[in-house]
Amino acid sequence: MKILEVRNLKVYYFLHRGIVKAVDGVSFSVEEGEILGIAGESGSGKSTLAHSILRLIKPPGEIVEGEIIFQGKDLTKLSEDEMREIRGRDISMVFQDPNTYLNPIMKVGLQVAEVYEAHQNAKIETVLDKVVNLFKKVKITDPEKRIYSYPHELSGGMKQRALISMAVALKPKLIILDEPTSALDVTIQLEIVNLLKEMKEELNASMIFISHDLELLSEITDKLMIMYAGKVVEYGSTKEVFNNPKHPYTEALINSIKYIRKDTLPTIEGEPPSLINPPNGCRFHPRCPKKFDICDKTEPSLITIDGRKVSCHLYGEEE
Amino acid sequence: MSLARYIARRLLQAIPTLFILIVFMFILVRVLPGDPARLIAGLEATEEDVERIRVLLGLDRPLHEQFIDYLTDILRGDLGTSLKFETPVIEEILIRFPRTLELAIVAELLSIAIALPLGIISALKPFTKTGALATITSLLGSSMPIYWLGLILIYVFSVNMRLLPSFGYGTPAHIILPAFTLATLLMGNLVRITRASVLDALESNYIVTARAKGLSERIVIYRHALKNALIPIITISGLQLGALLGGAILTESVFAWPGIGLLLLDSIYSRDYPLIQGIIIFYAVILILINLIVDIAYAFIDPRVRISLWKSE
Amino acid sequence: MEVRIEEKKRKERREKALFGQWWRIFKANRVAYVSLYILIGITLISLFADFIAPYSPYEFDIRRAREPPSLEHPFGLDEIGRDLLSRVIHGGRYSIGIAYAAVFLGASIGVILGLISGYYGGIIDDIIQRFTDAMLSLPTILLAIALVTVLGVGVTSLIIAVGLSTVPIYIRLTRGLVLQVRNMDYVLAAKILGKRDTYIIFRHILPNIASPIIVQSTYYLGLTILIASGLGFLGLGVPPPTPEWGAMIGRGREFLISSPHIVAFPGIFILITALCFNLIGDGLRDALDPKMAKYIRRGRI
Repeated sequence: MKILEVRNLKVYYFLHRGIVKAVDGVSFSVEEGEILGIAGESGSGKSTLAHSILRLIKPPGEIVEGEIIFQGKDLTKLSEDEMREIRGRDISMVFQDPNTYLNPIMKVGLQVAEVYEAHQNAKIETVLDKVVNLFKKVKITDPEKRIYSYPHELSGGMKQRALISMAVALKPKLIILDEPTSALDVTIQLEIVNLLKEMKEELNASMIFISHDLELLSEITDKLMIMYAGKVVEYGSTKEVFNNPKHPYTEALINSIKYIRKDTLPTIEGEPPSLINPPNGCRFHPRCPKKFDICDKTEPSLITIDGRKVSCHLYGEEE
Repeated sequence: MSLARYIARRLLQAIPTLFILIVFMFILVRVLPGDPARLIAGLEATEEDVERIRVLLGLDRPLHEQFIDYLTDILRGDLGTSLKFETPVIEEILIRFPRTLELAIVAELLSIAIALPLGIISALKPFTKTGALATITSLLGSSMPIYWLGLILIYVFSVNMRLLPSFGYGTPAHIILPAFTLATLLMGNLVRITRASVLDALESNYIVTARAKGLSERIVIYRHALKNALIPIITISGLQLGALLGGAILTESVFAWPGIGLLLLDSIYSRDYPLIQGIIIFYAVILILINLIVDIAYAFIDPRVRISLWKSE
Repeated sequence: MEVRIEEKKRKERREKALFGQWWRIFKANRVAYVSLYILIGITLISLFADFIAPYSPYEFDIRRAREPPSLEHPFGLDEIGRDLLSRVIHGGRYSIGIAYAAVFLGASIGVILGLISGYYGGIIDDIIQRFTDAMLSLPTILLAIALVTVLGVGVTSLIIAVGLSTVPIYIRLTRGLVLQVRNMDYVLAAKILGKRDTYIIFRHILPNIASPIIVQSTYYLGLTILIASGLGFLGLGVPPPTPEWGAMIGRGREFLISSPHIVAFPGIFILITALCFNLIGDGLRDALDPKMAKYIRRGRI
């Protein structure tokens, strides 16, 4: 059963310099208990996509079009109050940099306890024992003491564990992970990934795992979606996409990680395109090794081929 | 325990600053062209008068001797004797200073009371009437000749409306106009700083986390954004107390407020050099102390500083 | 030779384009743009005061002292019967002129010391910084009062006193900016090429930190007008009968109850002028590289 379905989502930033089309007509869905991986270079719109599911986009950014259906409700149509009830309770999020996503002047335990305050009308002081249990669950050592620590007293890994405990506190149906490990040391990355897998099993939640680390995604996700310049270029089961990439961009991404250590960004010749004035036709064509005459003229549509979706002229138009 | 060490270290750091100021004052009076004794006595004074002052101030002795005397006197808390009042300078200062402090503190509180809400509202709702009012306040505050504003306030509230006394010291009514005048000096900066730090806090990532938790906007703003924004605001408004003591010179002149600023002006008009020198050194000591207190207060408010400070030492 | 000329031309074109962009952003800020014109207007009126002022600023008629504004004398007459409008027009020369001269003086000394302090570092830096710390612990106006007390009254000593009192602020600002660019590639490259320090400082560092200093100076022009006229108000500025705005308020205050116009008009002009400088400063700051803009602060007394 589908827990989340996103249809033709467009998220634009209205800047003085022009309109940045960060997410430009993206559709996908997440099944119950499934992990969907979203990969792409920085600036491909994956983080904006993650934030817009919880409607955390701030002006000048705006969701301009599309539907986000969660358990039968279109989140884009909910009132701010209704949306607030979903945040943290039904859908939660873990962010990229634990150093900046925690309030520096508030004790960590209290920040976690706020989740209960927001959704169970509980006073912060009365739920501290629950926070201690949560901290135990995410393997924070000495939890009784740690709840009274300030963020800067904890290591990066500990902070991320605290943020994860916040995200799993109310047993949400869907957890969005926005590059949860990229700000951490390599050794700690693995621990955090294992913890996340454990949490997922325990809660039987669905996950959207955003990362530029394709190898990591290939290990833990069920489905994989590759984004380029605000658009989906390829989307299908992880195994197939990873073993037999169809889109030249996916292919290049996968090739690049074979040579480069996995904690660095895969590099591809050329630069990511401007999202204010994206290239005509296929947005990838200026960097594409397989481009031919129509690539810079018409934009390819997302077609289904061998049970997966690809947006590339190499595979012709859908009948 | 280590807080004491921190304070001690900061006090130690203040010593060279103060020493340079004392040297500066010494040089200013003695090394600049012209005969200080003649300057003090005035152009119409007789040669004997000038000589009398020269001996009285020790200006007839070699410079290095003068400097050592001057320094040891200051270290003993002796700022010399006023030529006009013929009393120890420090006594005069200690009578006058509390009144200036009173004025400055009331002005500080007043400017915070006005600027803080304006700055916060203009950050949260920039395109409202309050937002516009904040912009205007901030601009007028930085462009206002406060002595002129003081006179205009006297004209409106004392002369025309007969609501408030125009000058003097004593009752609570006396402090209203001068404190408001002086508060204007801070208001512009304070509105701007408040708005900037609230905007800064609202842009922070921990605000996104707070929202993602499902907290109500009220809690997000009060508990997370404003609390963080208050740290720089408190620090800076504390440091501004120094600017207020400077502005108090003008304000006290307008309202005949018998504080240290008026004393300084009187001493300048009557060329009471020991008094002038004493007041400026006193000002420096007070301002260095204020900076120190603000730094320590800052360490108390911000847990990041507090812990790094007390652990590292 | 050819190449060098080409390069120079290209550089000029780039600079022109950069200035054009600056100017466009500045112009888009209507308030700042209008303020600039008001300020140019005020400056021109003061410069040509001899031709514009309807009466002499010094001629008095004691029998008509403190006459309120009329058609004949739009701003009225002052405490000894001089035309207030003419005095305000002439006063701009002193009030604005002193501000320009003082800021120029303060900036020249402060920027040079700041460049030295930031570029060379080490013991020179320490000495200059301790000095700056000490001076900054006094409010600017107190520093100016201390200096003017020693220098005596007069236009020159007012300029020197007010100018010197802004020196420590300029040192702080410039030093901070120098530290930002000191390790940039183009500076390091020039060092490796063995260029002289003065060449590097004036050709590579100064041009790159000039714009924030200009913006800061715009704010300080507003501030020094307030400080200089404040000293004038206290009787520590220019001697009578010079029509300096602050001094006019200072002498008019005795007659506040019966003749508020003597106080009101010069003050309005101080306020407008300072306001223009602050608004222009805001416009320039917004047109500037935001990374540099954070070093600029509006001044305070």
